[in-house]
Amino acid sequence: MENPIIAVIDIGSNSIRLQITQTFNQTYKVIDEYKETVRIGDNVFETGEFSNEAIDTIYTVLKNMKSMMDSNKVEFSRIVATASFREAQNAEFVVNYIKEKLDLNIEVITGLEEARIMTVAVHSYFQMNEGNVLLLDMGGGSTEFSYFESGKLKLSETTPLGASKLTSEFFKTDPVKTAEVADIEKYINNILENILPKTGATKLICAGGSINNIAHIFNKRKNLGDSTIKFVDKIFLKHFINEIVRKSIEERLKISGMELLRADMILSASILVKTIVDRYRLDGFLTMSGGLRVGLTIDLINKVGYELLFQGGELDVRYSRIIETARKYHYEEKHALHVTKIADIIFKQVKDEMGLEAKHWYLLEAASILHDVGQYIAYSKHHKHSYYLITNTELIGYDLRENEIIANVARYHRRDVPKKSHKNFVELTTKDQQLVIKLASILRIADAMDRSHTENVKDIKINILKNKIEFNVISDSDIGPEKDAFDKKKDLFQSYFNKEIVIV
Amino acid sequence: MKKGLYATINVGSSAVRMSVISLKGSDYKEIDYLVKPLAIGMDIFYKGYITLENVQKLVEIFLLFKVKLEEYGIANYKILCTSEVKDANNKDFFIDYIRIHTGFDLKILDPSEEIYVKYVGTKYEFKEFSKIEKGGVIVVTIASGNISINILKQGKIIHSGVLAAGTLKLRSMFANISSVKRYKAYDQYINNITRELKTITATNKGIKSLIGGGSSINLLIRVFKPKKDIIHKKDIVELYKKVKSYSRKELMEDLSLREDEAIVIIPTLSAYIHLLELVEQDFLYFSRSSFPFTLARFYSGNIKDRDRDKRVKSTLLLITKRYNADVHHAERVAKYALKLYHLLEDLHSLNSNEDKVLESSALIHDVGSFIGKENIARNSHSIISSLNIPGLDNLTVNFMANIVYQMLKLPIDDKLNIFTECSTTDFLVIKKLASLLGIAKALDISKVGLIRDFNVTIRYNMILVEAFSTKEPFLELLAFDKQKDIFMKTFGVPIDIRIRVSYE
Repeated sequence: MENPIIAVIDIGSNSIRLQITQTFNQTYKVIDEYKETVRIGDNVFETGEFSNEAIDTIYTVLKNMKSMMDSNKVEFSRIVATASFREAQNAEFVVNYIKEKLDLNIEVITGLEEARIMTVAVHSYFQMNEGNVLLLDMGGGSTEFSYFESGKLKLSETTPLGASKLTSEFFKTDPVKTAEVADIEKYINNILENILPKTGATKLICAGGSINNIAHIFNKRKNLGDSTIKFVDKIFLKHFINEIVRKSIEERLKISGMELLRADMILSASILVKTIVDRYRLDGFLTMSGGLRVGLTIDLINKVGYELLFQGGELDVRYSRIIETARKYHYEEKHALHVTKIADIIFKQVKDEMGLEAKHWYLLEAASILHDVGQYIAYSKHHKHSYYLITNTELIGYDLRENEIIANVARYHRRDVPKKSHKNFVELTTKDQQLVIKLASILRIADAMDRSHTENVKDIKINILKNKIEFNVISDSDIGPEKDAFDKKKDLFQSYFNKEIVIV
Repeated sequence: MKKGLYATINVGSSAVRMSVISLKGSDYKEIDYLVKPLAIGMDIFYKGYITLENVQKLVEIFLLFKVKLEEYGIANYKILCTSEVKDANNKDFFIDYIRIHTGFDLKILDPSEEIYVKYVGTKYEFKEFSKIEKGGVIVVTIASGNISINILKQGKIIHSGVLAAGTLKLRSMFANISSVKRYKAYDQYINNITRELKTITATNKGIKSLIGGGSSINLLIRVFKPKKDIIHKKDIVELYKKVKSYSRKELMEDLSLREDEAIVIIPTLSAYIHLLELVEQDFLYFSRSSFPFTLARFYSGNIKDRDRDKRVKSTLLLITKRYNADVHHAERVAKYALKLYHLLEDLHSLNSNEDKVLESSALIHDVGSFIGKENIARNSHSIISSLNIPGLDNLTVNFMANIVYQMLKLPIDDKLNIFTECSTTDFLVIKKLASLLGIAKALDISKVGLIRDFNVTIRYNMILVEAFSTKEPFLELLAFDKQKDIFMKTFGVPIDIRIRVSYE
């Protein structure tokens, strides 16, 4: 069983989603995805059971998904159903019906199991040992809460605060009435009061389609691209609620980015999130898309005997994900890590002079590890290919702006220095352009210092003098190619300092 | 051209060469060969442009060659620059100046074309090439400006590339290092650039032969004076050990070399030693033919690559495999695309060569998903347009990239305006081929070959695809539905599908 292909299906109240992945080299890659927005839970929350129409929908969607699983030669799979199946009186009938017709096993998981799977997912995206994290997974029928103090799980609770359920129970008019809003707020507060700590959460991470739709609208308005992890500030959230509370569902659908089948539920989702943001006086909240599927995938990978890189315990999530990306493009590990080491040595000695802060190291570190990944496409112009690959890869732990900076720094590790004619460069803010120049100037020298890919340069002592900067290179081998490359690639560093740069 | 005289003039990094051949049926004979040293490569590698002084010297050489062409009464000739001229910043001025002052139209060879011609030339040169090729061979041309490499095994080109490390280029790179230890820099650099080849030869066990060509071989022939068409590794190593620290003057005196030969002999020896170690062989085969002679035979039509289409197909499928895409799916899509192309000839009115472009596009269309599930169209375009595929020129490769992009892109994706430089005629060809490819892709969207075959009928101003399947192909029908609109917008006629299921 080499590089097994696995599939997970998440049957939610609002949508059914399939994700097919292939495991390789301590990581995995999504090879196919499929989603149908079905709202099978609506009927359950009103009548207590799946309608015939909903059962037909489940059957048709799963039939298509089975076909995709077969075509992708899936070896292991897990199909889970959540709140709507937990509540539907005829859930057992549907499970048996699907087993009989399609030979697929639907596993109806408990709210606590759902929370556990989400926890697995969240660990793959966030460094959980930093601060206290409240994880909220809002489905159609229920919302699961998990609370972590310094990475340790302190509570895990299932609540009936699902987006669809809240909407059908509280919002009977269109547009909604002020009293209805007051009632839902009171109801949410009462439930939360009994299960969540009064203070302490420093970060709120949310999952679920309706909350993700809020973040999607936020990103659209801010002209930000799409990403798995998004941050929405509390000011937007407040204004957004004020905006939609007065609108009918038809009017809400005119909002750019609003999903057709979420226009009604998005209000209850917004109110729930705002209640928590206010409770812990947070600046905003993070959203994570595909959470349950990611958790299911990782859980299944672990169950078939594989451990992923970030689960090793020694590496943090951010760093593991960079290494995963680099491995995907078959990077030359020794060279990349040596360049990163040299970049670190230089960074520490010049950061104050260059006005760089410690946090900028994480950008340079990623660019150093990934600078040569473009060689997977072609050696010729590989710096440009590296830029393309990095901008089209979501680097976990970095936001879109940081991702773009990393891609630019990697792009300028060789050949041309940044120019006003370069689209990728001019699209950055002036401040970020300066940051790219500074970091790229270090990376160019670090790369030159391992020109022969032999790790011959062991250390560098930098001496910043009035008219020149001396690099004392420590090595016990011949470093002719490195010296030669240094002379060719010191240009950006030299022009930044406006001083002569020499190896002594 | 079957009879008469044909000439090529080749502008290389260190010399301008002209070969005149006489053709009579399949018989050929080189009747004249002229060489005029001119180091434009030094200009490009040191300065990034070709100096006016050298441009003017080239005009003088060309005028001399022109007299020669007139003396022979040659009307059929080609003037080609080797690919490193592409790196000259003033290449457009250079070509324009030559045209104005000599009337010659210079063409810069694409790297892929250059490698391909060298490959075809070598194939014809060696009677036992098929036998050597079957067992695995590296065909290398070490020239002043670059090293071009084809790795072949069992009739497939498993790797093809141009390394920017010609002997003159290396010499210029390490010009500042003393001759006593400059060889170490060559060794390190060549070892570094052959690293990727080591991986390829390791994963394709059995690559046991090396065939050398290019100006470097002429130099080795002068030095070693071999009687047969092989040079032994022990002779190369022996000479290298003896002269590796020699100065230019010592090399000229001791080995009776010209100055231009003395400056490249050490990197040449080093490169061949590394390559022979790679194939674990004690000798290398070589071709005595000059590059201009090979060019003359190739462009006059005296030599042809009869297996070109077969090999291009194998190469494209290898690339598809490298990017983790489904090879069988690619082959089925190509088969369906070709069938549609031929059945709908009256509708699309494309010329007979464009079916090859369509087939090539189909074989490689899925590579973009390797980068990520988002932006597959742009990812595929980016990868395909960066490929060097021996036997396909750059224009064709760009066409393929655009066809795949047009087929995969969503109607709303206008971020990549790749067609701005495309003529209306070319754009129409791209749209037609992309529409056919889209339908072919839809017919195997589940990637398992559910649809075994199909017929096409045209009636009542409508095209009907009658597909034969072993099961109901749900995903194929969904995908077909999405492609219908695109097809109609291109050809102005609706297309539909009818499934005939023959249950197994």
